[in-house]
Amino acid sequence: MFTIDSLAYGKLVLVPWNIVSYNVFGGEERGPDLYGTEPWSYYFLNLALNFNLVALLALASLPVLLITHTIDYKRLGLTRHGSDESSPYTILTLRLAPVYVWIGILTAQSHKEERFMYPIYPLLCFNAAVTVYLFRGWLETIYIKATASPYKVVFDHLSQIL
Amino acid sequence: MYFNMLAMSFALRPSTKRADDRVLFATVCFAIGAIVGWPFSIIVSSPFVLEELFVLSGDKVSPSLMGKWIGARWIRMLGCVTLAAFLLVRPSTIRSPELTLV
Repeated sequence: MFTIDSLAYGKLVLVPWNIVSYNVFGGEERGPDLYGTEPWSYYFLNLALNFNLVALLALASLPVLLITHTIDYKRLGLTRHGSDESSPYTILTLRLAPVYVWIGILTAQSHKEERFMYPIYPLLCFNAAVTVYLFRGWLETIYIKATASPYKVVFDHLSQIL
Repeated sequence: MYFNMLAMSFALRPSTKRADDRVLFATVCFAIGAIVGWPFSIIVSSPFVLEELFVLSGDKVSPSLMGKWIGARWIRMLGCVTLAAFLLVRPSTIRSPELTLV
């Protein structure tokens, strides 16, 4: 790749480095701000437009994980982890994190474009799926507590619908 | 371009359990996404890198063996990064006039 680019330009060139150096070190006249700036709400509105409910579910995934940790700890594993292992909550947090990191860093940039969100589209779906799963776990826990059921797992018509 | 790295974070799903090929695939895929695609997309790999270097995640390591385990993890990560870089950024020393396209 480096070979082909250098041959095409006639001199030694490393394209990814040029991309970074223009956009990060451009300064005032050059650099991304030249192409338009947007307020901080841009990506949230855009994701809401494109993803509707899924965007909300995806962004809610870390808070939902926190609540599951509080009220439904066994959801991620029936036996507690030992002191020589990682908590499954740590592991899942690391899996859910890229979405937040990406949106956070790009929202901090004043130049915003819709296509900058593309790299995390699959991850938004993953986060939303995790939220749905954990939320159903809450419903199960609440049901068991409310009906004082002797069973640990809910298996009736209602749970099959939900 | 953007999608290939992310869709290939399939390699992220299983935890790190002495799974060298998982780390290699994930690193190479992130590298393809960043170098062939968009350099800033490497940011998405940062939680993966943190997990590789600092978090137990699937391994059971008693405190006395921690030093060796961390060393092994860092070396594995470094090896995968080097391999990915070598695969994607190959320096060229071609200088012959016939090969100039201009």
